[in-house]
Amino acid sequence: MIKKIITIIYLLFFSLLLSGCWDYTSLDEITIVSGMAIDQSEDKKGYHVSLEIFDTTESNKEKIKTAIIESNGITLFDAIRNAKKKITNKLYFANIAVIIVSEQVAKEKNIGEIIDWYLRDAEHRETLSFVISKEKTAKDLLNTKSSTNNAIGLLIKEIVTEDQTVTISVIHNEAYKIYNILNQKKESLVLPAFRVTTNNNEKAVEADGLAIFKNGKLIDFIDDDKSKYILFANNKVKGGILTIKKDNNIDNISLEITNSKTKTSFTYKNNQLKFFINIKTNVIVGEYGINDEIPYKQITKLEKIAANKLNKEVTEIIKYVQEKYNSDIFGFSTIIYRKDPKLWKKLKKDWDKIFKNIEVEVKSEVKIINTSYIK
Amino acid sequence: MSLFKKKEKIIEEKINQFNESLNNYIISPSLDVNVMIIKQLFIDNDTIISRSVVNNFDKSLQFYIIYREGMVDPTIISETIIKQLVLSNADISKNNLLDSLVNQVLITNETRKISSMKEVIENVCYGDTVLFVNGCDKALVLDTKKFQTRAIEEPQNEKALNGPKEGFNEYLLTNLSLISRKLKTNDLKMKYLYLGQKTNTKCCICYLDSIVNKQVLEELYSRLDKIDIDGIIDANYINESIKDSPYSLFQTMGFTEKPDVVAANLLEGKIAIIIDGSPIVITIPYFFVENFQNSDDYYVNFYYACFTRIIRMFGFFLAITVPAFYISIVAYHHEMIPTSLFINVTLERQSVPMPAAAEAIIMLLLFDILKETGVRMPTNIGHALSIVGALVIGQSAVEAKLVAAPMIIVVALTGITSLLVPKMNAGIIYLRYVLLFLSIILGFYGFILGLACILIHILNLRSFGIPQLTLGGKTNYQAIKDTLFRGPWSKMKLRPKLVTDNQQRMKGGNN
Repeated sequence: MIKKIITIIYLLFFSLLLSGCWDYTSLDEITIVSGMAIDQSEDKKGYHVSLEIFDTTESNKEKIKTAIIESNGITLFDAIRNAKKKITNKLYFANIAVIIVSEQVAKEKNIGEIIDWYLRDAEHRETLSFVISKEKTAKDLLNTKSSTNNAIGLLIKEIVTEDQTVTISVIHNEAYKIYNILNQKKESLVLPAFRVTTNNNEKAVEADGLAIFKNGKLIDFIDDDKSKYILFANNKVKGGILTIKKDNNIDNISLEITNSKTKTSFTYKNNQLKFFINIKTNVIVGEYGINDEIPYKQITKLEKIAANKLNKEVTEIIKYVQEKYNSDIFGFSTIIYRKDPKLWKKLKKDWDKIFKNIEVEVKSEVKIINTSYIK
Repeated sequence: MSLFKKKEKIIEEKINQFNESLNNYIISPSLDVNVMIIKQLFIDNDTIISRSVVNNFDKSLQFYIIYREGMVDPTIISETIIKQLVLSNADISKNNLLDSLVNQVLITNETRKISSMKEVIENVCYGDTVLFVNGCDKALVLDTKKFQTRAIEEPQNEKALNGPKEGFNEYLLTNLSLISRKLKTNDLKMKYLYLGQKTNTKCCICYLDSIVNKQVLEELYSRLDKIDIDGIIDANYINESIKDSPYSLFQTMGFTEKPDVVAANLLEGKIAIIIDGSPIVITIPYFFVENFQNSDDYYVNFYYACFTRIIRMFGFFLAITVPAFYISIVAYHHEMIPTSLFINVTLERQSVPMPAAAEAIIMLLLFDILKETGVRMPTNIGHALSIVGALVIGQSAVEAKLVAAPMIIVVALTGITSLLVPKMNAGIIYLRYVLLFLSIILGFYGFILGLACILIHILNLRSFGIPQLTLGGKTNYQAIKDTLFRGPWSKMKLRPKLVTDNQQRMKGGNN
């Protein structure tokens, strides 16, 4: 027994000598990156990246400060390794939340090229968010001031992740989802767009609609008053506010969405594709203008008004996208592929032409489940 | 080496010779011979009192009594033995002298006949009085024991909020009375045996005859037979001599100071070993879950009992894993920490001179030192220690940037949770360091490796042939009713399957 124990102890000592301390990195030897902005370099050949890092030397328990490190490189990885020339510690990417891509880069380069490095690198997470900057450079977004969060990167991440349940203006696509969409070939990508505004006399970031892609390249932006209905068409709505007008005035009633479901189906008859979009939404009356009981008749009327508005707006935006961008951001191609692969094989060749002429019928049903009136 | 061995052999031989001669000494009919032997045996021992007594009416009735002072009740000796022997004028038949003495003269409550000198020594040393009668080749043992014992108190190590609070003391008979008072049945068997060549410690093996697992009982006797030790002072002497896997960190025998726990264990078909001179009673077989069970569990609402039991299990898990887990994420797997916490920990770790691994080892050792000091020191210095412990080591070390604040939290959490399961003290202390070292070398890989090894070890443990922990298998309600959860009493229809074949606990309880 004792011999056995001694042998085991000897072996353990040997294992210490053999392995060393595998992968041991102390926390004070790393620089945590929270956000990253990708611009085109001045010579137009490579990338100019700006990294938002947590400044551990300046920060204390009360206030955590961030700093920005810029560097140039021919490729993304090159640019990031070049950034190490300016700092002591190795950059650590596991906590990076957001990649901001400038309009210029997104228009000139395929987004697939950019995303490749993030998916290959071991440290990055697949839940990384990508957003498009509406400003001149993507770095401008990092240079703003956040009143609530420590880092702009984390702030943008939180804005886009919570958007679908609160404000419904952007579609949040993470790295792995982007990769999936790009691999569908015919489906098009949408990414959240951000701009810089002034808030309390300081620069601040704001979500501002969607960036529409086609074939992996940015083509245009859609404002956030229209982007809401793209979310309805894409079954991405989990909350948010729907405003309607009671009579022929301006919108003065707010309906809070509790849950919403969109079912998309299609028929193919006589070489003609027809899509049906069924939206079922439950709402609560959140703001009515007069604090009084709403009669039953009025409730059914409101439901009809809201349903009509949804019908109209969703139909309009689909038509608008079909005609102006001819970009399948609604994933119609994927739906056909999944339900009827044989049909998809037939349509695949001329999809661009077909998509433009698809007839879409929108049917929405809004149900007021609560008027939240308290006597 | 050989020289020492030779010497040892010689000493051993001498001891054996002595013992044999002792066994050969039998009580002779002649009182004078007996007195001579006794005087020789107890030479140089002033506590042995002996005197001769002669009957007033019949001078041929000569007696000799011997006892040890301090362990007997002198009034009993004078009133019920000496006075009776001297003044009795009963018609005593010479043929059957001892019996008629017991029947007609002596009024002590317990008498026994013995025939060897060895028994004389044993009984005299345990507070009984031995009476030699002239012309008899047997002696009488008269129960005159009286010595100071500790009062029955609530045990400090097994505090209970509800239910019975009495605890065992150091006197075997008191302990046995506490047990038998709870089990008023002839099914309760109590068998004496003596262990230890020098201490001659009286032990008692208790079990309920109709429930007990006979194989376990046999195994216990055969193991007790093999004990070869000069003295049994405490239950742990027996434990370490007979337990399964003697080098394991985990217990394979139960220890308790509470008679209610022993009674409940006996009712499950287990066996109790009560040792004279120790307030600790051993129960076998012992299951791993018993580490987390507490007598309180059975005396309170079962919902509450389930909760506290799960807390205890979780506490054990935390106590062995928290430092290792912390080192793993801080040194290897940074991506496991949520971002905001990550930044805070990073800030705390800035400008701390030692690496986290060294910090963890030093702080844990420091805590163990503090803990051990707290147990051994006089109580009135306790305040000073707590000030030093809390202020100097906790607060000041962080302020002086010698230690990072999260490390203090880790150590505090480990320290508190390790006190949750006092039955596994040894296991917790060692496993904590083992896991910590594995984590320092290999990160989470080592951590999981260590946990797997511990689990395999526990699954391999056996208590008197019965597995300590089983995973899966038949998991019906009766199998798990008293493990992770404690079912209500009305549903505990069967006794533990592994312990006993006679499972029926309630009439009409089949599952």
